Amino acid sequence: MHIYLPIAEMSVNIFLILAMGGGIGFLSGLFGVGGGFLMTPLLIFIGVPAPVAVGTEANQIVASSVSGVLAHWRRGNVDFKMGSILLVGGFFGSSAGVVLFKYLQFIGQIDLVIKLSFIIFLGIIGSLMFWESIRTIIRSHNPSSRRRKLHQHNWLHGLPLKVRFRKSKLYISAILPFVIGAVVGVLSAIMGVGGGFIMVPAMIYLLGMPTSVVIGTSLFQIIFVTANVTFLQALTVQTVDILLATLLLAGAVVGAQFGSKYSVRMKGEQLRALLAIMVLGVCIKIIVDLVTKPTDLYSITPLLGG
Amino acid sequence: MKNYFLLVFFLTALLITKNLASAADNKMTAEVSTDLVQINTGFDGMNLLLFGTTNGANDIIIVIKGPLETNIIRKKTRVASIWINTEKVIIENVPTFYATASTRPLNQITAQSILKEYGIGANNFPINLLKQPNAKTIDISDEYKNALIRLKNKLGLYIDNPIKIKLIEGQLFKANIKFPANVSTGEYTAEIYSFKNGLLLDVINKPILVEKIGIGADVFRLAHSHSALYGIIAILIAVASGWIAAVIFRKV
Repeated sequence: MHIYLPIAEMSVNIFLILAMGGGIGFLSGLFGVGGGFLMTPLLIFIGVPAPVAVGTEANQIVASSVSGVLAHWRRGNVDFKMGSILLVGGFFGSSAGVVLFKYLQFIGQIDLVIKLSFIIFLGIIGSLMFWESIRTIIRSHNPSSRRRKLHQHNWLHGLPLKVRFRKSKLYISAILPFVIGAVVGVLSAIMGVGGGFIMVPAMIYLLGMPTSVVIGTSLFQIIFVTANVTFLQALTVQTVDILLATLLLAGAVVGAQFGSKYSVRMKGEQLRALLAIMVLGVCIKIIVDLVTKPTDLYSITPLLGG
Repeated sequence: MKNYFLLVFFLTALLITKNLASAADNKMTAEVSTDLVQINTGFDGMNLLLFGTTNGANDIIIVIKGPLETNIIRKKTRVASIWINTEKVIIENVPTFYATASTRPLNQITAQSILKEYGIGANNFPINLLKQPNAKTIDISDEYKNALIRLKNKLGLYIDNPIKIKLIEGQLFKANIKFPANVSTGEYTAEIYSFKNGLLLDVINKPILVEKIGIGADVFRLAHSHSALYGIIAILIAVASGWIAAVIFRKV
Protein backbone atom coordinates (compact mmCIF):
# COMPACT_ATOMS: atom_id res chain seq x y z
CA MET A 1 0.00 0.00 0.00
CA HIS A 2 1.43 3.31 -1.06
CA ILE A 3 0.95 6.73 0.45
CA TYR A 4 1.90 10.07 -1.06
CA LEU A 5 3.95 12.26 1.28
CA PRO A 6 2.82 15.87 0.78
CA ILE A 7 6.09 17.63 1.70
CA ALA A 8 8.65 15.06 0.57
CA GLU A 9 6.56 14.93 -2.66
CA MET A 10 7.05 11.23 -3.19
CA SER A 11 5.11 8.02 -2.89
CA VAL A 12 6.31 5.50 -0.32
CA ASN A 13 5.21 2.10 0.89
CA ILE A 14 3.37 2.70 4.15
CA PHE A 15 4.58 -0.61 5.64
CA LEU A 16 8.22 0.17 4.85
CA ILE A 17 7.96 3.41 6.84
CA LEU A 18 6.17 1.69 9.74
CA ALA A 19 8.82 -1.07 9.75
CA MET A 20 11.63 1.50 9.74
CA GLY A 21 10.00 3.31 12.66
CA GLY A 22 9.53 -0.02 14.46
CA GLY A 23 13.10 -1.19 13.87
CA ILE A 24 14.73 2.05 14.96
CA GLY A 25 12.23 2.29 17.84
CA PHE A 26 13.29 -1.18 18.99
CA LEU A 27 16.94 -0.14 19.00
CA SER A 28 16.20 3.11 20.80
CA GLY A 29 14.22 1.23 23.46
CA LEU A 30 17.02 -1.31 23.74
CA PHE A 31 19.87 1.16 24.06
CA GLY A 32 18.06 4.21 25.47
CA VAL A 33 19.10 6.46 22.57
CA GLY A 34 16.90 8.54 20.30
CA GLY A 35 17.85 6.75 17.11
CA GLY A 36 17.94 9.92 15.01
CA PHE A 37 21.53 9.17 14.02
CA LEU A 38 20.29 5.97 12.37
CA MET A 39 16.93 7.19 11.07
CA THR A 40 18.16 10.29 9.22
CA PRO A 41 20.70 8.36 7.06
CA LEU A 42 18.08 5.63 6.50
CA LEU A 43 15.46 8.15 5.29
CA ILE A 44 17.99 9.66 2.89
CA PHE A 45 18.84 6.15 1.71
CA ILE A 46 15.20 5.38 0.72
CA GLY A 47 15.09 8.57 -1.34
CA VAL A 48 13.67 11.21 1.01
CA PRO A 49 15.43 14.51 0.17
CA ALA A 50 18.10 15.23 2.83
CA PRO A 51 16.52 18.50 4.09
CA VAL A 52 13.13 16.78 4.50
CA ALA A 53 14.77 13.86 6.33
CA VAL A 54 16.46 16.26 8.77
CA GLY A 55 13.38 18.44 9.42
CA THR A 56 10.98 15.51 9.75
CA GLU A 57 13.28 13.50 11.99
CA ALA A 58 13.56 16.49 14.36
CA ASN A 59 9.76 16.47 14.56
CA GLN A 60 9.63 12.75 15.33
CA ILE A 61 12.29 13.07 18.05
CA VAL A 62 10.08 15.64 19.83
CA ALA A 63 7.45 12.91 20.21
CA SER A 64 9.78 10.09 21.25
CA SER A 65 11.52 12.36 23.79
CA VAL A 66 8.19 13.44 25.33
CA SER A 67 7.20 9.81 25.66
CA GLY A 68 10.60 8.90 27.14
CA VAL A 69 10.92 11.80 29.56
CA LEU A 70 7.62 11.05 31.33
CA ALA A 71 8.91 7.75 32.72
CA HIS A 72 12.08 9.42 34.01
CA TRP A 73 10.08 12.33 35.44
CA ARG A 74 7.92 9.94 37.47
CA ARG A 75 11.06 8.42 38.98
CA GLY A 76 12.42 11.91 39.72
CA ASN A 77 15.39 11.46 37.38
CA VAL A 78 15.20 14.84 35.66
CA ASP A 79 17.43 17.73 36.78
CA PHE A 80 15.27 20.60 35.57
CA LYS A 81 17.77 23.30 36.59
CA MET A 82 20.61 21.69 34.63
CA GLY A 83 18.20 20.87 31.78
CA SER A 84 17.09 24.52 31.55
CA ILE A 85 20.64 25.85 31.21
CA LEU A 86 21.45 23.17 28.62
CA LEU A 87 18.35 24.09 26.65
CA VAL A 88 19.06 27.84 26.71
CA GLY A 89 22.37 26.94 25.09
CA GLY A 90 20.51 24.51 22.85
CA PHE A 91 18.15 27.25 21.62
CA PHE A 92 21.06 29.46 20.56
CA GLY A 93 22.94 26.55 19.04
CA SER A 94 20.03 25.08 17.09
CA SER A 95 18.92 28.49 15.78
CA ALA A 96 22.45 29.14 14.54
CA GLY A 97 22.50 25.59 13.17
CA VAL A 98 19.38 26.14 11.04
CA VAL A 99 20.93 29.30 9.53
CA LEU A 100 24.17 27.39 8.89
CA PHE A 101 22.17 24.54 7.32
CA LYS A 102 20.54 26.93 4.87
CA TYR A 103 23.90 28.46 3.95
CA LEU A 104 25.59 25.07 3.42
CA GLN A 105 22.65 23.99 1.30
CA PHE A 106 23.12 27.12 -0.80
CA ILE A 107 26.82 26.47 -1.47
CA GLY A 108 26.15 22.77 -2.12
CA GLN A 109 28.18 21.32 0.73
CA ILE A 110 25.38 20.27 3.11
CA ASP A 111 25.70 16.57 2.25
CA LEU A 112 29.44 16.66 2.86
CA VAL A 113 29.08 18.49 6.19
CA ILE A 114 26.33 16.11 7.36
CA LYS A 115 28.54 13.12 6.49
CA LEU A 116 31.71 14.57 8.05
CA SER A 117 29.82 15.46 11.25
CA PHE A 118 28.50 11.91 11.47
CA ILE A 119 31.98 10.44 10.91
CA ILE A 120 33.65 12.64 13.53
CA PHE A 121 31.04 12.22 16.26
CA LEU A 122 30.06 8.63 15.66
CA GLY A 123 33.76 7.71 15.37
CA ILE A 124 34.81 9.37 18.63
CA ILE A 125 31.79 8.30 20.67
CA GLY A 126 31.68 4.79 19.23
CA SER A 127 35.36 4.18 20.00
CA LEU A 128 35.14 5.62 23.52
CA MET A 129 32.02 3.63 24.33
CA PHE A 130 33.47 0.44 22.87
CA TRP A 131 36.70 0.83 24.82
CA GLU A 132 34.89 1.64 28.06
CA SER A 133 32.45 -1.27 27.82
CA ILE A 134 35.17 -3.79 26.95
CA ARG A 135 37.16 -2.58 29.97
CA THR A 136 34.09 -3.01 32.19
CA ILE A 137 33.44 -6.50 30.84
CA ILE A 138 37.08 -7.48 31.50
CA ARG A 139 37.03 -5.89 34.94
CA SER A 140 33.83 -7.70 35.94
CA HIS A 141 35.77 -10.96 35.56
CA ASN A 142 38.41 -9.52 37.87
CA PRO A 143 36.77 -8.57 41.21
CA SER A 144 39.69 -6.50 42.62
CA SER A 145 38.42 -3.24 41.07
CA ARG A 146 38.79 0.08 42.84
CA ARG A 147 35.91 2.34 43.67
CA ARG A 148 35.70 5.42 41.44
CA LYS A 149 35.54 8.98 42.68
CA LEU A 150 32.21 10.80 42.18
CA HIS A 151 33.86 12.86 39.45
CA GLN A 152 37.24 14.22 38.50
CA HIS A 153 38.13 17.84 39.27
CA ASN A 154 39.85 19.77 36.49
CA TRP A 155 40.28 23.31 35.15
CA LEU A 156 36.64 23.34 33.94
CA HIS A 157 35.58 23.60 37.57
CA GLY A 158 37.45 26.86 37.97
CA LEU A 159 35.20 28.88 35.62
CA PRO A 160 33.06 31.75 37.03
CA LEU A 161 29.22 31.92 37.41
CA LYS A 162 29.04 28.90 39.67
CA VAL A 163 25.61 27.41 40.28
CA ARG A 164 24.53 24.64 42.64
CA PHE A 165 22.69 21.73 40.99
CA ARG A 166 21.12 19.77 43.86
CA LYS A 167 19.75 16.87 41.85
CA SER A 168 23.07 16.31 40.05
CA LYS A 169 25.05 16.89 43.27
CA LEU A 170 27.23 19.45 41.46
CA TYR A 171 28.54 22.97 42.08
CA ILE A 172 29.89 24.10 38.73
CA SER A 173 29.97 27.06 36.36
CA ALA A 174 26.78 27.61 34.32
CA ILE A 175 28.97 28.42 31.30
CA LEU A 176 29.87 24.75 30.88
CA PRO A 177 26.35 23.30 30.39
CA PHE A 178 25.45 26.36 28.27
CA VAL A 179 28.33 25.70 25.86
CA ILE A 180 27.61 21.96 25.70
CA GLY A 181 23.93 22.72 24.99
CA ALA A 182 24.89 25.15 22.23
CA VAL A 183 27.33 22.77 20.52
CA VAL A 184 24.83 19.90 20.58
CA GLY A 185 22.13 22.31 19.35
CA VAL A 186 24.16 23.18 16.22
CA LEU A 187 24.72 19.47 15.50
CA SER A 188 21.07 18.73 16.14
CA ALA A 189 19.99 21.20 13.45
CA ILE A 190 22.59 20.10 10.90
CA MET A 191 22.46 16.35 11.41
CA GLY A 192 18.73 15.92 12.17
CA VAL A 193 19.45 14.13 15.42
CA GLY A 194 18.37 14.71 19.00
CA GLY A 195 22.00 14.72 20.03
CA GLY A 196 21.52 12.32 22.96
CA PHE A 197 24.48 10.26 21.81
CA ILE A 198 26.71 13.32 22.22
CA MET A 199 24.87 14.93 25.14
CA VAL A 200 24.90 11.85 27.38
CA PRO A 201 28.69 11.24 27.28
CA ALA A 202 29.29 15.01 27.62
CA MET A 203 27.12 15.13 30.75
CA ILE A 204 28.86 12.11 32.29
CA TYR A 205 32.46 12.83 31.37
CA LEU A 206 32.60 16.65 31.10
CA LEU A 207 30.03 17.75 33.68
CA GLY A 208 30.41 14.74 35.96
CA MET A 209 26.66 14.25 36.43
CA PRO A 210 25.45 11.04 38.11
CA THR A 211 24.33 8.46 35.49
CA SER A 212 20.85 8.15 37.04
CA VAL A 213 19.75 11.68 36.05
CA VAL A 214 21.64 11.89 32.76
CA ILE A 215 19.12 10.21 30.42
CA GLY A 216 16.05 11.99 31.84
CA THR A 217 17.73 15.41 31.79
CA SER A 218 19.06 14.88 28.29
CA LEU A 219 15.60 13.84 27.02
CA PHE A 220 14.04 16.87 28.73
CA GLN A 221 16.26 19.33 26.90
CA ILE A 222 16.11 17.39 23.60
CA ILE A 223 12.32 17.99 23.50
CA PHE A 224 12.83 21.75 23.40
CA VAL A 225 15.83 21.79 21.10
CA THR A 226 14.22 19.51 18.49
CA ALA A 227 10.94 21.46 18.81
CA ASN A 228 12.94 24.61 18.02
CA VAL A 229 14.59 22.90 15.03
CA THR A 230 11.18 21.66 13.81
CA PHE A 231 9.70 25.14 14.06
CA LEU A 232 12.61 26.89 12.35
CA GLN A 233 12.89 24.31 9.54
CA ALA A 234 9.13 24.54 8.98
CA LEU A 235 9.34 28.33 8.94
CA THR A 236 12.40 28.83 6.72
CA VAL A 237 12.57 25.89 4.31
CA GLN A 238 9.19 24.06 4.73
CA THR A 239 10.80 20.65 5.05
CA VAL A 240 8.78 19.12 7.92
CA ASP A 241 6.52 16.34 6.65
CA ILE A 242 3.85 15.79 9.32
CA LEU A 243 2.54 12.66 7.62
CA LEU A 244 5.97 11.01 7.43
CA ALA A 245 6.73 11.98 11.04
CA THR A 246 3.43 10.51 12.25
CA LEU A 247 4.00 7.21 10.42
CA LEU A 248 7.56 6.89 11.76
CA LEU A 249 6.29 7.72 15.20
CA ALA A 250 3.56 5.08 15.14
CA GLY A 251 6.13 2.41 14.32
CA ALA A 252 8.70 3.75 16.76
CA VAL A 253 6.36 3.82 19.77
CA VAL A 254 5.57 0.12 19.43
CA GLY A 255 9.17 -0.84 18.61
CA ALA A 256 10.51 1.05 21.63
CA GLN A 257 8.29 -0.93 24.01
CA PHE A 258 9.66 -4.25 22.76
CA GLY A 259 13.18 -2.83 22.82
CA SER A 260 12.99 -1.74 26.44
CA LYS A 261 11.62 -5.16 27.47
CA TYR A 262 14.59 -6.86 25.84
CA SER A 263 17.05 -4.44 27.38
CA VAL A 264 16.12 -5.63 30.89
CA ARG A 265 17.49 -9.07 30.04
CA MET A 266 20.91 -7.78 29.02
CA LYS A 267 23.83 -6.37 31.00
CA GLY A 268 24.57 -2.65 30.69
CA GLU A 269 28.11 -3.11 29.42
CA GLN A 270 27.00 -5.69 26.84
CA LEU A 271 24.37 -3.25 25.59
CA ARG A 272 26.94 -0.47 25.39
CA ALA A 273 29.38 -2.70 23.50
CA LEU A 274 26.62 -3.62 20.99
CA LEU A 275 25.59 0.01 20.58
CA ALA A 276 29.25 0.97 20.11
CA ILE A 277 29.65 -1.62 17.36
CA MET A 278 26.52 -0.32 15.61
CA VAL A 279 27.68 3.31 15.90
CA LEU A 280 31.10 2.39 14.50
CA GLY A 281 29.42 0.40 11.72
CA VAL A 282 27.41 3.45 10.57
CA CYS A 283 30.58 5.54 10.81
CA ILE A 284 32.63 3.15 8.65
CA LYS A 285 29.80 2.92 6.09
CA ILE A 286 29.83 6.72 5.68
CA ILE A 287 33.64 6.82 5.38
CA VAL A 288 33.54 4.14 2.67
CA ASP A 289 30.87 6.15 0.81
CA LEU A 290 33.03 9.27 0.89
CA VAL A 291 36.26 7.70 -0.36
CA THR A 292 34.89 5.39 -3.06
CA LYS A 293 34.26 6.92 -6.46
CA PRO A 294 30.53 7.70 -6.75
CA THR A 295 28.64 5.92 -9.56
CA ASP A 296 27.59 9.32 -10.87
CA LEU A 297 29.90 12.29 -10.36
CA TYR A 298 27.05 14.70 -11.03
CA SER A 299 24.09 15.55 -8.84
CA ILE A 300 21.04 17.70 -9.42
CA THR A 301 19.17 20.02 -7.08
CA PRO A 302 16.46 22.57 -7.74
CA LEU A 303 17.54 26.15 -7.13
CA LEU A 304 15.98 27.27 -3.85
CA GLY A 305 14.64 30.72 -3.19
CA GLY A 306 16.40 32.49 -6.08
CA MET B 1 -11.02 0.17 -17.88
CA LYS B 2 -12.72 3.55 -17.98
CA ASN B 3 -9.97 4.79 -20.27
CA TYR B 4 -10.50 1.84 -22.58
CA PHE B 5 -14.20 2.53 -23.11
CA LEU B 6 -13.43 6.20 -23.59
CA LEU B 7 -10.92 5.25 -26.26
CA VAL B 8 -13.32 2.97 -28.12
CA PHE B 9 -15.96 5.67 -28.03
CA PHE B 10 -13.64 8.38 -29.33
CA LEU B 11 -12.12 6.21 -32.03
CA THR B 12 -15.53 5.26 -33.36
CA ALA B 13 -16.60 8.88 -33.35
CA LEU B 14 -13.37 9.89 -35.07
CA LEU B 15 -13.72 7.25 -37.75
CA ILE B 16 -17.20 8.48 -38.62
CA THR B 17 -16.14 12.14 -38.76
CA LYS B 18 -13.06 11.23 -40.74
CA ASN B 19 -15.12 9.63 -43.47
CA LEU B 20 -17.22 12.76 -43.67
CA ALA B 21 -14.29 15.16 -43.79
CA SER B 22 -12.29 15.56 -46.96
CA ALA B 23 -9.11 13.54 -46.99
CA ALA B 24 -7.20 16.41 -48.57
CA ASP B 25 -6.77 18.65 -45.52
CA ASN B 26 -3.95 17.77 -43.17
CA LYS B 27 -5.76 18.51 -39.93
CA MET B 28 -5.31 15.70 -37.48
CA THR B 29 -7.36 15.29 -34.35
CA ALA B 30 -6.07 14.33 -30.94
CA GLU B 31 -7.41 13.87 -27.45
CA VAL B 32 -5.97 13.18 -23.99
CA SER B 33 -7.74 10.76 -21.61
CA THR B 34 -7.70 13.43 -18.93
CA ASP B 35 -6.57 17.04 -18.75
CA LEU B 36 -6.42 16.98 -14.98
CA VAL B 37 -4.01 14.77 -13.02
CA GLN B 38 -4.85 14.85 -9.34
CA ILE B 39 -2.32 13.86 -6.72
CA ASN B 40 -4.18 12.53 -3.70
CA THR B 41 -2.88 10.61 -0.69
CA GLY B 42 -2.93 7.31 -2.58
CA PHE B 43 -1.19 8.69 -5.70
CA ASP B 44 1.34 6.28 -7.17
CA GLY B 45 1.74 7.67 -10.67
CA MET B 46 -0.80 7.34 -13.45
CA ASN B 47 -1.14 6.41 -17.09
CA LEU B 48 -2.11 9.07 -19.55
CA LEU B 49 -3.72 7.91 -22.76
CA LEU B 50 -3.37 10.01 -25.91
CA PHE B 51 -5.17 9.15 -29.12
CA GLY B 52 -6.43 10.64 -32.36
CA THR B 53 -6.52 10.41 -36.14
CA THR B 54 -3.39 10.73 -38.25
CA ASN B 55 -5.13 12.08 -41.33
CA GLY B 56 -2.58 10.96 -43.84
CA ALA B 57 0.52 11.33 -41.71
CA ASN B 58 2.77 8.32 -41.39
CA ASP B 59 4.58 9.36 -38.22
CA ILE B 60 3.43 10.84 -34.94
CA ILE B 61 5.55 12.32 -32.15
CA ILE B 62 4.08 13.22 -28.79
CA VAL B 63 5.97 15.49 -26.38
CA ILE B 64 4.75 16.02 -22.83
CA LYS B 65 6.46 18.85 -21.02
CA GLY B 66 6.21 19.84 -17.37
CA PRO B 67 6.55 23.33 -15.91
CA LEU B 68 10.03 24.89 -16.18
CA GLU B 69 12.44 25.16 -13.26
CA THR B 70 16.01 26.21 -12.55
CA ASN B 71 18.43 23.46 -11.54
CA ILE B 72 21.94 23.33 -10.17
CA ILE B 73 24.14 20.53 -11.48
CA ARG B 74 27.14 19.84 -9.28
CA LYS B 75 30.18 17.79 -10.15
CA LYS B 76 32.26 15.88 -7.64
CA THR B 77 36.03 15.67 -7.84
CA ARG B 78 38.51 13.98 -5.60
CA VAL B 79 39.97 16.30 -2.96
CA ALA B 80 42.29 14.84 -0.33
CA SER B 81 41.02 11.32 -1.05
CA ILE B 82 37.31 12.12 -0.56
CA TRP B 83 34.77 12.99 -3.24
CA ILE B 84 33.24 16.43 -2.82
CA ASN B 85 31.22 18.87 -4.94
CA THR B 86 33.68 21.28 -6.50
CA GLU B 87 32.08 22.60 -9.69
CA LYS B 88 28.58 23.73 -10.46
CA VAL B 89 26.50 24.99 -13.33
CA ILE B 90 23.09 26.61 -13.09
CA ILE B 91 20.65 25.56 -15.79
CA GLU B 92 17.53 27.59 -16.49
CA ASN B 93 14.34 26.61 -18.34
CA VAL B 94 14.60 22.95 -17.43
CA PRO B 95 11.29 21.13 -17.81
CA THR B 96 10.52 19.27 -14.56
CA PHE B 97 9.10 16.46 -16.69
CA TYR B 98 9.79 15.59 -20.32
CA ALA B 99 8.42 12.56 -22.13
CA THR B 100 8.43 11.74 -25.80
CA ALA B 101 6.60 8.97 -27.58
CA SER B 102 6.87 8.30 -31.28
CA THR B 103 6.07 5.80 -34.00
CA ARG B 104 9.80 5.34 -34.77
CA PRO B 105 13.06 6.62 -33.27
CA LEU B 106 13.06 10.43 -33.64
CA ASN B 107 16.03 10.62 -36.03
CA GLN B 108 14.31 8.23 -38.46
CA ILE B 109 11.16 10.36 -38.58
CA THR B 110 12.62 13.71 -39.57
CA ALA B 111 15.78 15.78 -39.90
CA GLN B 112 17.76 16.89 -36.85
CA SER B 113 17.26 20.52 -37.85
CA ILE B 114 13.49 20.17 -37.53
CA LEU B 115 13.75 18.38 -34.17
CA LYS B 116 16.00 21.19 -32.95
CA GLU B 117 13.69 23.91 -34.26
CA TYR B 118 10.69 22.56 -32.40
CA GLY B 119 12.65 21.36 -29.37
CA ILE B 120 11.60 17.77 -29.81
CA GLY B 121 13.60 15.31 -27.70
CA ALA B 122 15.34 16.04 -24.40
CA ASN B 123 18.62 16.67 -26.28
CA ASN B 124 17.05 19.32 -28.45
CA PHE B 125 15.18 21.21 -25.79
CA PRO B 126 16.52 24.77 -25.48
CA ILE B 127 17.74 24.91 -21.89
CA ASN B 128 19.86 27.79 -20.72
CA LEU B 129 23.25 26.99 -19.19
CA LEU B 130 24.77 29.64 -16.96
CA LYS B 131 28.47 28.98 -16.50
CA GLN B 132 29.78 29.53 -13.01
CA PRO B 133 33.13 31.23 -12.39
CA ASN B 134 34.52 28.14 -10.64
CA ALA B 135 33.89 25.82 -13.59
CA LYS B 136 37.27 24.77 -14.95
CA THR B 137 36.54 23.61 -18.47
CA ILE B 138 35.67 26.11 -21.17
CA ASP B 139 33.14 24.11 -23.12
CA ILE B 140 31.00 22.58 -20.45
CA SER B 141 27.64 22.69 -22.11
CA ASP B 142 27.50 19.12 -23.46
CA GLU B 143 28.99 17.58 -20.35
CA TYR B 144 26.46 19.17 -18.01
CA LYS B 145 23.53 18.87 -20.37
CA ASN B 146 24.17 15.14 -20.71
CA ALA B 147 24.45 14.83 -16.93
CA LEU B 148 21.14 16.66 -16.53
CA ILE B 149 19.35 14.36 -18.95
CA ARG B 150 20.91 11.24 -17.42
CA LEU B 151 20.00 12.27 -13.84
CA LYS B 152 16.44 13.24 -14.76
CA ASN B 153 16.13 9.98 -16.65
CA LYS B 154 17.22 8.04 -13.58
CA LEU B 155 14.54 9.83 -11.56
CA GLY B 156 11.96 8.66 -14.10
CA LEU B 157 11.21 12.24 -15.09
CA TYR B 158 12.69 12.17 -18.60
CA ILE B 159 11.28 9.38 -20.70
CA ASP B 160 12.05 8.49 -24.29
CA ASN B 161 9.57 6.11 -25.86
CA PRO B 162 10.49 5.37 -29.46
CA ILE B 163 8.06 2.97 -31.21
CA LYS B 164 5.60 3.57 -28.37
CA ILE B 165 2.85 4.93 -30.59
CA LYS B 166 0.73 2.37 -32.39
CA LEU B 167 -0.86 3.26 -35.69
CA ILE B 168 -4.14 1.47 -36.22
CA GLU B 169 -4.92 0.82 -39.88
CA GLY B 170 -2.68 3.76 -40.71
CA GLN B 171 -5.37 6.21 -39.64
CA LEU B 172 -5.63 6.18 -35.87
CA PHE B 173 -2.94 6.43 -33.24
CA LYS B 174 -2.80 5.82 -29.52
CA ALA B 175 -0.08 6.05 -26.90
CA ASN B 176 0.16 5.40 -23.18
CA ILE B 177 2.46 7.68 -21.23
CA LYS B 178 3.21 7.03 -17.59
CA PHE B 179 3.33 9.89 -15.13
CA PRO B 180 5.60 8.74 -12.28
CA ALA B 181 4.67 9.29 -8.62
CA ASN B 182 7.27 12.07 -8.21
CA VAL B 183 5.88 14.49 -10.85
CA SER B 184 5.70 18.12 -9.78
CA THR B 185 2.51 20.09 -9.86
CA GLY B 186 1.77 22.75 -12.43
CA GLU B 187 0.75 23.27 -16.02
CA TYR B 188 1.89 20.63 -18.49
CA THR B 189 1.47 20.57 -22.25
CA ALA B 190 1.06 17.65 -24.59
CA GLU B 191 2.33 18.53 -28.08
CA ILE B 192 1.29 16.16 -30.85
CA TYR B 193 3.24 16.45 -34.11
CA SER B 194 2.27 14.64 -37.31
CA PHE B 195 4.84 14.00 -40.04
CA LYS B 196 4.61 12.72 -43.58
CA ASN B 197 7.82 11.58 -45.25
CA GLY B 198 9.85 13.69 -42.85
CA LEU B 199 7.77 16.85 -43.32
CA LEU B 200 5.80 18.38 -40.48
CA LEU B 201 2.09 18.38 -41.30
CA ASP B 202 0.35 19.58 -38.17
CA VAL B 203 0.78 20.34 -34.47
CA ILE B 204 -1.83 20.14 -31.73
CA ASN B 205 -1.29 21.46 -28.17
CA LYS B 206 -3.27 20.07 -25.26
CA PRO B 207 -2.91 21.50 -21.76
CA ILE B 208 -2.77 19.12 -18.79
CA LEU B 209 -2.98 20.34 -15.21
CA VAL B 210 -1.27 18.41 -12.42
CA GLU B 211 -2.49 19.40 -8.98
CA LYS B 212 -2.61 18.14 -5.43
CA ILE B 213 -5.98 17.44 -3.86
CA GLY B 214 -7.29 16.20 -0.54
CA ILE B 215 -5.57 16.27 2.84
CA GLY B 216 -2.11 16.15 1.27
CA ALA B 217 -2.84 19.33 -0.68
CA ASP B 218 -4.13 21.05 2.46
CA VAL B 219 -1.01 20.04 4.38
CA PHE B 220 1.23 21.34 1.58
CA ARG B 221 -0.67 24.61 1.33
CA LEU B 222 -0.60 25.16 5.08
CA ALA B 223 3.15 24.41 5.22
CA HIS B 224 3.83 27.05 2.57
CA SER B 225 1.29 29.77 3.32
CA HIS B 226 1.21 29.61 7.13
CA SER B 227 4.66 28.19 7.90
CA ALA B 228 4.76 29.31 11.54
CA LEU B 229 1.33 27.85 12.30
CA TYR B 230 2.33 24.63 10.52
CA GLY B 231 5.50 24.36 12.64
CA ILE B 232 3.50 24.82 15.84
CA ILE B 233 0.94 22.22 14.74
CA ALA B 234 3.76 19.76 13.93
CA ILE B 235 5.19 20.23 17.44
CA LEU B 236 1.78 19.92 19.13
CA ILE B 237 0.99 16.68 17.25
CA ALA B 238 4.38 15.28 18.28
CA VAL B 239 3.97 16.25 21.95
CA ALA B 240 0.42 14.88 22.08
CA SER B 241 1.29 11.56 20.44
CA GLY B 242 4.37 11.13 22.61
CA TRP B 243 2.25 11.77 25.69
CA ILE B 244 -0.51 9.38 24.58
CA ALA B 245 2.05 6.66 23.81
CA ALA B 246 3.59 7.01 27.28
CA VAL B 247 0.16 6.78 28.94
CA ILE B 248 -0.99 3.76 26.88
CA PHE B 249 2.17 1.74 27.43
CA ARG B 250 2.49 2.53 31.14
CA LYS B 251 -0.24 0.00 31.87
CA VAL B 252 1.20 -2.75 29.69
